[in-house]
Amino acid sequence: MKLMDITAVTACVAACGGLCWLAGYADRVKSTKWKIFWLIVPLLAIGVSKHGLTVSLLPLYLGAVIAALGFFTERSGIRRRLAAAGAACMLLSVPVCLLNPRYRAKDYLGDFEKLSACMREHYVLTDHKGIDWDALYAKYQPKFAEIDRTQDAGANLLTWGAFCGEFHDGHVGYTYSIKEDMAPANQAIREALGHDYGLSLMRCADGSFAAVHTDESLAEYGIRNGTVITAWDGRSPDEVSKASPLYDVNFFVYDEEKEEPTLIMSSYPDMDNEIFWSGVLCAGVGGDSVTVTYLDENGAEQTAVLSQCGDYLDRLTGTVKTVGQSVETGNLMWKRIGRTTACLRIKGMSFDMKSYNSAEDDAYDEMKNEIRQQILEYQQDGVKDVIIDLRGNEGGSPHMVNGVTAMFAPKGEHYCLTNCVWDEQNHCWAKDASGRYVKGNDIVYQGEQLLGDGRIIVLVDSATVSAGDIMTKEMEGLENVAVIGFTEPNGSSQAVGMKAGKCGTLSFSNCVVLDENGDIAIDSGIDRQSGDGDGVEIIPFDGEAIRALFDEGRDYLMDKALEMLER
Amino acid sequence: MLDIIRGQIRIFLRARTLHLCNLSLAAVFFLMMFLDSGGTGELRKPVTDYIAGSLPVFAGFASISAGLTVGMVSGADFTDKTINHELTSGRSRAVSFFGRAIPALIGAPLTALAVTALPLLLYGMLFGFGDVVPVSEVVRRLLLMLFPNIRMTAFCLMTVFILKNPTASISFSTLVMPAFALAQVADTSVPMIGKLAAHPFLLAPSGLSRLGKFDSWYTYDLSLNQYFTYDPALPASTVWPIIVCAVIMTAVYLLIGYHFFHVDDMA
Repeated sequence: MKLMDITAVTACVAACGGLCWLAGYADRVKSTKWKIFWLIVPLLAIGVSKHGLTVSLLPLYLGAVIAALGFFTERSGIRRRLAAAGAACMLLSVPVCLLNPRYRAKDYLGDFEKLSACMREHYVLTDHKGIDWDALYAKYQPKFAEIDRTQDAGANLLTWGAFCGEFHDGHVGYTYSIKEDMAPANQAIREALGHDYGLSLMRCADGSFAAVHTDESLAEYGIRNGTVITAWDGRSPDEVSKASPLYDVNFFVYDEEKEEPTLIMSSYPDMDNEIFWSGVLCAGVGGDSVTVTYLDENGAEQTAVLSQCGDYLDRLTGTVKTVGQSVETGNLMWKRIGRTTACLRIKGMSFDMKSYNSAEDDAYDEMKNEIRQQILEYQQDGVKDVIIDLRGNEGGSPHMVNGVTAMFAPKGEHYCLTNCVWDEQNHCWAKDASGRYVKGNDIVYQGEQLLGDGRIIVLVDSATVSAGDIMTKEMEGLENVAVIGFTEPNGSSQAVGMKAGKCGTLSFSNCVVLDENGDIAIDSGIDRQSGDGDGVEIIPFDGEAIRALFDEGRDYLMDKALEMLER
Repeated sequence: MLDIIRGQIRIFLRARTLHLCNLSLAAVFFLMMFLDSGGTGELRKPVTDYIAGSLPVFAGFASISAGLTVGMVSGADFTDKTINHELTSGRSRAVSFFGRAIPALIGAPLTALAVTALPLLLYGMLFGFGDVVPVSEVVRRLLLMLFPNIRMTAFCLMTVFILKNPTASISFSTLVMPAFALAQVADTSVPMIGKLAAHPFLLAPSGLSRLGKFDSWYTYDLSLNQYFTYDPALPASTVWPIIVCAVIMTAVYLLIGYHFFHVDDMA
């Protein structure tokens, strides 16, 4: 029973005790002004609990009304009996709350009905991604009905994650809003990820699967970082990965102490990114032990039985962080990398609140002045080239993207994106007769070419999303820029809307962003190919990369970028 | 009782301060809409746009006039002891009470309705009604909002007759109602009000806000132009509990007020 409800019952019962005493006092002093106190009990019953009304506390509310009936009589004996009866009725709410399985039940099913209906009405990529809403509803409604019955907060988060994963859209996600759901949600993810057997698996560029982030104890078997794993309990690693309950599911683990998510994984809009990560969940799947088949140093196939030694969550978190590492500095901060190279780290497309909420041409003048000044200082100090680190960029304002890109783009006008027209009459995004969104005005920017003949390399990964995707698309079209990464960026650029329910909030693509042809910009469609990956130079994830990342602790992509600049 | 009712009507018609307050409220509402569009600027939103987005705020502030009416009209007889003389001259407590309650329950909500509707009507006639939400739905909502206003009027009557002072009614209506209306539309919600607002039938302000609120959705484009869509439908499952609770609580407040007044020492 919740503390506030216990407090409410206690306070009301105590108030009834007070009324019993007051009944005698009022009778002695023969004053009617004390009658008002009989109206306080109902206020206490409703007002004390911060959780709101509940059917389980009906005896409390009835008891308050019974006690309040003493207002209508002057006889102390009747008042005392009413107060006692009211208190007795109030106390009944304790066993009712304790025994009622629906006591303060969270409305998980109601949330699903409400949020999915809202998304169905307002999601702008339904046709583009071929979403069958009826099939999705038929698949998930029974699951949420069961979750509502069992009140399983962990299952609620995982099921929402699976629902969101169906869209393969980096902007579709669910976060819970009830703090007490955090622990069961984290626990559910920990259990779903499975056991730790001392290694993670990553898919290499040649299609094989290699052990990474290996524990020292596996050295006795000859399993090290880079060892090729050919089978996991007799099946191929990607097949096992797909059997994981978290495959293609959006989920995150929240650290309460750090007040931030420590692990975020999701379904991938772009198929190539999904393939890149297709082995990583495999290494948690299994029982008390797993049989791993691998190639030893001589290339011969060996088998080892590995026992589980904890939860896979921590090792997976470490693996994802290592592969997705970026320059450790603040947003829009510079770091001198080499003699002639500086790195600009952009974690999110946000400079300040005033500019973020503005679409004016001069909104980012202050930011541009800062960048301009820093580049001029670096140039005086011998810097010729710039690396822009967009890895893990969470997105934000496309106007900031233009502000930054304008600094480096060749002189002249450059195209960014195209607005969609809003149909004022029907209150929706306008579509033509063929069902395509109607093009509005183009968004352009003017290049400054601050670096002159200097070169720019942009680093991206699968977590570079939203405005990060937009910047990638703009940059890969510029002749003085190369974009590199183990993967393409995420592939989600439509702007976001959110709908809050009682237990959580659902976000989804709500605002249409088009390209110059009037097609949906960047976001992958049914073909699962996003529109900003063609210009990305994919750095092979191979033995060399694994050694650099996991054995030597180096930022391999940054090293590759410097290598390219030195050529 | 008819004499008392006529007397109340006369007090209402001659209460210049009350009329000034009501006119000021109405003028503020009109100015809010007029100045929002930049004075005489070209981009002027139709009145239904304001209704769709802000009707709960208008109605919440307009209910000030209901509390003022109860305080200045029904409560006026307490300050000048008219009601004392009435009782000592042989009039029954029931006649004194209901002679004031009946015109208050009719006049105060209608006054609040007028303060809400007239500026909207005037603005619409001058600058257009638009079609953001159907006008028929707006009229329906305004009429439904009479029920929470009647409930609130009964509450104010109860406080006036218990405390024998119009100040309580005036204070409640000028402080609590607007605060509640603002809290429900504010970005940072007050947790208690949020929980109470989850049950709109529970309190008159929450009922008023829910009946005036149009469910909305908003989107935007790359140039940060905002577009709102409103759902004019109000489910019967939301409306009926508010109306039923309003009727029940009106009866309860009147019962409490009358019972207290019936045995109260008027000294």
